[in-house]
Amino acid sequence: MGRDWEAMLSARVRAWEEGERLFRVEREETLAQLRATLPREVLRWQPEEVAVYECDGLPALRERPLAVALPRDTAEVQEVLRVCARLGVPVVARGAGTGLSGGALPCRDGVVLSLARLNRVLEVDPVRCWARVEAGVRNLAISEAAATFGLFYAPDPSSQVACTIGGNVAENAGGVHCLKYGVTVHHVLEVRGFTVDGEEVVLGSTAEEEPGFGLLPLVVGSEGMLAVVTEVTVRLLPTPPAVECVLAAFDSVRAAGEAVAAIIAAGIVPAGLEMMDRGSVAAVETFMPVGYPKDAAAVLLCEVDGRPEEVEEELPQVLDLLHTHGAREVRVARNAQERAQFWAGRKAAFPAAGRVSPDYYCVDGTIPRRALGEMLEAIAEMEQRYGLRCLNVFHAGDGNLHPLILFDGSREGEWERAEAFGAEILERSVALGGTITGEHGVGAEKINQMCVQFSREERAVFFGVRAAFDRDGRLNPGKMIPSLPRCVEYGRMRVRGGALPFANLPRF
Amino acid sequence: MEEVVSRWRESLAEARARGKMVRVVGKDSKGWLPWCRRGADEVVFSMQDWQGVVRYEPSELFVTVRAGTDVAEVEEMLAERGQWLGFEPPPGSVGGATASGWSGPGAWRYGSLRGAVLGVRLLDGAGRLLRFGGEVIKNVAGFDVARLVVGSWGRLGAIVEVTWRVWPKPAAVRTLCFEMGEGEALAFADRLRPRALPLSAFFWSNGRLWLRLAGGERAVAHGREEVGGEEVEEEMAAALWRQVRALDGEPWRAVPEGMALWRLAVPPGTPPLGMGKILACERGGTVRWVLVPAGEEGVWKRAEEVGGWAWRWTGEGPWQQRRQGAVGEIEERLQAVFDPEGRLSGGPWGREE
Ligand SMILES: Cc1cc2nc3c(=O)[nH]c(=O)nc-3n(C[C@H](O)[C@H](O)[C@H](O)COP(=O)(O)OP(=O)(O)OC[C@H]3O[C@@H](n4cnc5c(N)ncnc54)[C@H](O)[C@@H]3O)c2cc1C
Repeated sequence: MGRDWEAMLSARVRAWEEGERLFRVEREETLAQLRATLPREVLRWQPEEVAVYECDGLPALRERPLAVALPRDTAEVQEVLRVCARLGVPVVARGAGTGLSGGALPCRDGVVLSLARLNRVLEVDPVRCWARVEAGVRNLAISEAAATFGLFYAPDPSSQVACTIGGNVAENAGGVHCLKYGVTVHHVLEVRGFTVDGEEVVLGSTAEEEPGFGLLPLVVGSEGMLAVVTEVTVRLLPTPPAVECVLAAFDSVRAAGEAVAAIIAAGIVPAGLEMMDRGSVAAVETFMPVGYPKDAAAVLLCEVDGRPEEVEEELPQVLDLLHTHGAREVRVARNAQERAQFWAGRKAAFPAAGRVSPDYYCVDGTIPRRALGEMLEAIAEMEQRYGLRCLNVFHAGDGNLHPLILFDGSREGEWERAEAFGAEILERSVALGGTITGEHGVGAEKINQMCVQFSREERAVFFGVRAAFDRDGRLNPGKMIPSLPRCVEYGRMRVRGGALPFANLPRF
Repeated sequence: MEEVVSRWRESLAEARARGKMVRVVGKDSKGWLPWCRRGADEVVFSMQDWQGVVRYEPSELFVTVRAGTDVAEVEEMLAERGQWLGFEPPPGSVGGATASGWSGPGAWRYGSLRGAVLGVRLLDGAGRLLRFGGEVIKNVAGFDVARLVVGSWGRLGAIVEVTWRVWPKPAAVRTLCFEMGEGEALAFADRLRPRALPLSAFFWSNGRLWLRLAGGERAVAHGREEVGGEEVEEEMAAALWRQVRALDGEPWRAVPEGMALWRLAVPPGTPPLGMGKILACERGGTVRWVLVPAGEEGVWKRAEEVGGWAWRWTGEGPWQQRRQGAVGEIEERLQAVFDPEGRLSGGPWGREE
């Protein structure tokens, strides 16, 4: 096998170097075969039926798929995959479609495979402390099912009422509590599913370690390009009995950033540590008044949790550090209701941006936290240059930024400007020692920036890894891994546009 | 960096010319393991001299280190800033710890070494210098190759540099000891798991359970009252955890003639296996060390029956079984992505044809 695979791989890499692969799909035949294999209620193909699947949470990118399959069980998932494998049809898995990088963007001649109907919680084991759920189960539903046992599922993306665990696995989703508790990859024990050819795979192990190579972390965050996930076993943690949440207002974002560094340097890892700038506070207060101080340059939310004694020890330290680092107002939530209100504002920041502007574009770079001030100044300068406003929301503890660029898609050229603005923020993140995506994934959106963050050889490795699971690259094609000509072209464009700001910086 | 890169390429070229394999070694602290013995047909590539801390940012909770650096040295540096490696890697070089993927007792609370790896630089079997991941905690750009490399025992390439996440050192640490048998200790683990206690390590051996508590002073004091047990004197406790971490005690190093030592990874909540002689249980019972007569191959199956997997620790290989079916094929193909000529040796899986 070794030799064949090697030859195949180098041929594939060469093809990849030459350009993106196009699939030759017999549309009529594909539809006919799907219809012959699956019941009507599992398939959608009429334009009005498939319209809602044209995009995910990044509506600027759209494509109408050939068909959408909504299997009710794993056997039907496998059927869909087999039919597509036989006919060489691309497949795009889809959860709730809340992804923000166009990861679930359909393929024109492909089938969208929705896992939304696989929504059963199969097992909550309060002794082993795990939950076994189908891929379409919503993130929040896991914690809800575990709550009766005093347990919870830690990764909590702001979209948790809607997004699915399958989508979380595909994106390695984070949440506001991930500085202390970690992201999806730290909480998934085992994943079951199929390769694009419909072969069953089990990755990871409920024994907490997996034998052989670490395939579980490879599949987590693989953006639906390595396997279709049908079942996930996640670790559950004991719900911390005590929680305190503090809101602090600062006169500058820099001061707030320094307070964050001081808290961590003091040996405290808060459960949540979130920051919003003046613009996002104003947007939140317009959309959903929660009582954030509107005149502050930055609002910080800091949550500590644990056993009552731990929280009693940490809270006064946090308050002290906030004061000594220039917080001019510090409020401790008096009860669970007020705490929920503090968080409600933060969790509503994206929709709030959608209220103050016809459209917004959410960016997702991570930078080393020490570069926060520099990054914000750069963004302020870009606002002028692109003629667009930007609100800033951060996961402050880990340097994951969500600049929200406001634009009006109905105006000629504004989306393109917003897109270029976002691209520049991401490329600056790389130059500052960070990354183009902290939690939303590369998808179709940041594919050009992959050329900036990774060398040609590294991209070839990604391509090889992908081919090890999916020889023809039929699962979610056109995402994450740019072809060589694309990067060459993108490089030329950046130079032409004079938009190559860091030409003389060594790239890693 | 250039020096290491060219030395690596030379080793690959030498191996190619002489029809040999390449084996990466760090401090050779795992040389006592049967799958770390060097074959006569191997070119040895040493990372030993590639040392030093590249970057350490305490308030950003990461440290970037060259592969040949001693783990103890890194820990000393972190301790000066009140931080530590919660997953407690084994002693030896940073690269060796990462390539083995071993975690120490603290993994029960802080998660495994694999989870703590934020980025690696790798020299692969094709001689390419590659970087995956980075230095920030939140990073999902590209496939997570950095964590794939963890536990690959040199089969995917030579790890040149690693970025680890670090943790603040808990203010208080206390170890408690309980007289109890295996079954009782495992049942105790089941009762502890769902409770919000500041537990940080679990080790049972020879009729005794050791539990380590770590956290704030008061949290640890309360936890101690809640779980009971006899408090163990600090130095003695530290010595015990050091031993468990290095697998440097009787269960691991004094295997009787005619017997074989096995390590089984099993799901939490698995009752005693009733197989051979149980020597030790770690991490709430998810790791079991068992002594069985040499040549007894039923262990593979027994582990599978309870949803876990087995690892032969002594004697002749293969020491671990490759997974079957589609997953096994994926593993083989992955290896070829990094090592197209099949020149890299290492790891407990034996060599495939
Ligand atoms: C308001 C808002 C707030 C958000 N906040 C956060 C946040 O705090 N943190 C965060 O990390 N993200 C956040 N997101 C992004 C998004 O919710 C996450 O990426 C989420 O994990 C996507 O899940 P989904 O079920 O909607 O997946 P989809 O959008 O349907 O799909 C996302 C990707 O996963 C793949 N996929 C989906 N299901 C499967 C499966 N079963 N098998 C294989 N591949 C699959 C798809 O092919 C696609 O590539 C937010 C989004 C919104 C709209």
